[in-house]
Amino acid sequence: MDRNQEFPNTTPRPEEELSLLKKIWRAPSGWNFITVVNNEYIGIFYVGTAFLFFLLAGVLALLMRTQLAVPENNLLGQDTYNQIFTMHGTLMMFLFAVPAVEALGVLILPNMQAARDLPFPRLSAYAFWAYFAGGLAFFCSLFFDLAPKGGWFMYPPLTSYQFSPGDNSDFWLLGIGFIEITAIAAAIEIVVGVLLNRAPGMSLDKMPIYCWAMLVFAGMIMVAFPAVILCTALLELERSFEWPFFVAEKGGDPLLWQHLFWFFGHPEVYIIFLPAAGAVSMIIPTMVRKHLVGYRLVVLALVGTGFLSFALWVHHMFTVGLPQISMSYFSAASMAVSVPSGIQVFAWIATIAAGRLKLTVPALFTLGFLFIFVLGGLTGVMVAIVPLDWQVHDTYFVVAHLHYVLFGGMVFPLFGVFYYWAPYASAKPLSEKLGRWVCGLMFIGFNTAFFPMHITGLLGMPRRVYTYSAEVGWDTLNLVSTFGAFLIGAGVLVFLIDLILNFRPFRPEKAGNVWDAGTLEWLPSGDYAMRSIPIVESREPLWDQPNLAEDVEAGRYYLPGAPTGGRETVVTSPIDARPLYILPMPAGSWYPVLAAFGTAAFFLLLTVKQVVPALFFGVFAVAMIIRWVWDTDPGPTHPPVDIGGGITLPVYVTGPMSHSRWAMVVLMIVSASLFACLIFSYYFLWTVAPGFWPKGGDSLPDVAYPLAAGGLSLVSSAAMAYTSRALKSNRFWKVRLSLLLAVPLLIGALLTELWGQWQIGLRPTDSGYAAIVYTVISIQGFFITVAAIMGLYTFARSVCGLINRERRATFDNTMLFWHYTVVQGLIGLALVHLSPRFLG
Amino acid sequence: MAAALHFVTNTLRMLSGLLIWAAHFGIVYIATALVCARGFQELKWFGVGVVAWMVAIATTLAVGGILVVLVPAWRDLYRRSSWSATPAFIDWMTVAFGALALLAIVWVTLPVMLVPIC
Repeated sequence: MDRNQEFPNTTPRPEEELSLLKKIWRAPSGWNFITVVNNEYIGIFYVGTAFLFFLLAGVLALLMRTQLAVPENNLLGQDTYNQIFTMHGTLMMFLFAVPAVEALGVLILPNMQAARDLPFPRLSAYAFWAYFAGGLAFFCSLFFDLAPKGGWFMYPPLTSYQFSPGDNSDFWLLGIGFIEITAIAAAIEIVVGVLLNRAPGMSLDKMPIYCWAMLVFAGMIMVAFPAVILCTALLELERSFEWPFFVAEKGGDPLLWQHLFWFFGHPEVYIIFLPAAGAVSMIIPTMVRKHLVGYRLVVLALVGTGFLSFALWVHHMFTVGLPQISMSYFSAASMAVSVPSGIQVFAWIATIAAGRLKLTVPALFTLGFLFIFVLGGLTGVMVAIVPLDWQVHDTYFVVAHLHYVLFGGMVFPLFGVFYYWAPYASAKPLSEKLGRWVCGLMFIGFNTAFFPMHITGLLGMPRRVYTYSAEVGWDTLNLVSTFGAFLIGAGVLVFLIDLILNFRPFRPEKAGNVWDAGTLEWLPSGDYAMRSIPIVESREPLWDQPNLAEDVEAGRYYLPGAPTGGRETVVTSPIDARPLYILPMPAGSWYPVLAAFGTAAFFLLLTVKQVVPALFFGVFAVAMIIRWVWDTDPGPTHPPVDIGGGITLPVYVTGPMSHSRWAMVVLMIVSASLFACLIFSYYFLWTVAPGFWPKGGDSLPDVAYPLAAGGLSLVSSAAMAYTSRALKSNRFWKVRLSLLLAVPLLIGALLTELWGQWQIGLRPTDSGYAAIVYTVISIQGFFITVAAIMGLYTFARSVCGLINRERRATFDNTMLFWHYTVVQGLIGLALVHLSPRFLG
Repeated sequence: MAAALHFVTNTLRMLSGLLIWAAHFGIVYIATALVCARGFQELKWFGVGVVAWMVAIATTLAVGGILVVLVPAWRDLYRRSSWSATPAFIDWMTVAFGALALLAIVWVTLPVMLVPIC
């Protein structure tokens, strides 16, 4: 039988097809290289920058360990030590761990799913450059005695204006808040990318485990990160304007910070761990040449961990005096989460047992990970037991536990990943010989450094002390720990040498599938990803579909060329991965890069109270973003495209399957999570300080104010709905008029509510109650500002003839965000006006 | 439209066990915090404290809710004569998430019988 008949497209392909594909996807050269958006380039920049922060944080760790090597050391002063340990923890958690796993997702996911790129490549570029510029500037605060010094979890009141004057804490609050926003941008990219950009046939049950892990990871970011964004905003408001959220004598409570921070902070551990676990689930089957045992159970474990990890935050607060039964709920949940973690560990062990493990460097790192992470998990169960936690709270036992979990659960797999996926990105694989040294030094160094800390902790050594007396008996253990830390440093140094000697990225030729792995990222690829998009029939298609690589390379599968004359990829349905439409993709551009630098400058200048220059850069960043998105929503400018196999796909869609609609829905979930945390904060402050709440309706604004604000909001939403109807019949003047009407209505709703509170004499500095009421208004004000900008932007596009009945994705997204803003505003009004009347 | 709706309904069904667990956890935690903050922990009905009642009711509803989704998914899984892999996968996940959620709910509920309330 003719082999051509088995495939969607016949071969040989026209000669010019491949050269056109290469030309369209080629990375820009010269200065314009900085505008590159291809995932393999941005992914490597991203991983490289995250690794740079790992090195910087590692140097800080060595400084700390040198300081603690001997008692009564005076190498670092107390203040410097405080800045260094805060910066170490902050860099590791916020600037290394999360960005590193996001970066790997950006780098690997498109090829693993046989997409040409993730759906919003410019968003990835924006997130990367903002992180790069903002992160480096944040780190440099260390050289100007401006680094934060309140510990990586920055507990108030220590970090509030009274005990931390100056700009140090502001650097943390604004810097990290901003970095989290870029993390959310990357999460949106990953969620939409995993759900809509998979190879045809790669249904949910055939999705590589790594894709599942990244999906859960991004979903967790959507829910967890808004909590830290909110609490950093609250503390910054307290520091800058004295809104007393955390001041007990004014009806605030420092525990509010701890609740919000740890609602983010504990899932953060799993946010970091799950992608690493996903990678381990890719490495082990390759190294034993067997399918992963218990695929469904591992998916269950990933998703289950993602959920259960949100019920653990209070186990960081067992010593703050909560009700005993509440602590028991969290103690039980902390133990319950070990069930899905255990499932994964047993699945890996069973997979190893099912085959014969090749002891390559990635496999060695994986074994090191299993040993260390299991020990960390066991001490995790120990500290989940309330009485033991009381004993070891804030001692070096906890330092040991968290490093066993994080270093074991993330850094070891990550180094395994570096060795495993280097041939995917580099012309040469990394050295097996040097890699064994790296793994050995790091493994021995890690256990030498951190195992003794369990004992120093049990002997009573508190965390964060910059020195200690010789009489307390901690000196030998600390010296051993310091020796171990330098062994880890030596391992990392050998790794750097290996990188210099062997890592050759951005080359047309790649080392390729040196491990004989089974998943699609190992297909031959160029800047355009793969030559044609295959049909997937199993979880390891390279193992189960003979000649797949050759057939893909010959262009026998879908979309072998560039039929629209530009970049494009195939969007598939989220459950069973059926081809739905062609997504035109943007090439490189300066606008995301400039917008990123503008955003970073805005936040950093605001930190040092340079308000006018900050505003200038803020406006600049918004202008660049508007210019960048102006080119999106191109409309149905190209007729449907034949991708092969008799499938003809539209090049533009609107409605529920539009990828931009999915991104907007993700953004709304993030927003809803933030608002839910705000509602929690409101009721939390009411619970702890009811005396500051108005009694009944007497000291509240007249009901006419919320009724008017709610009415104006609803009318603005109705105007948007009317605009939608008018757009369906292309009645453009009605579209523009109703858009222009909706904006002032929504702003009027905000001003009405603000005036209602202001005219009764309530000021945000009065009490925790007043501060949280004005925060509800402020956050709604932020959403209304964004909605108004979107409304005016949509109006401008309408005036320019860029919106009509067929070309309406921009309008649909504006309308969706508008309705969300109105619903959130109505809930906010009910919260602020009904709660005191019913609960007061 | 059909693909989006298919995704939303299937995802909600698949994750229903874990979503119910999250709701149960939130309710028992918040209810207990309010009772303790307002000093209502001594209230009793038929000799059983108010927190125990609240947790018992929430747990009964949660377990019932999970079983309502889990049982049909279990039946679909084993009665389907000819199935494609994906729907079977979704049914399996629905059952498995439900079972994990049941375990977590029971585990979180147990301390009410063992530990002082406030």
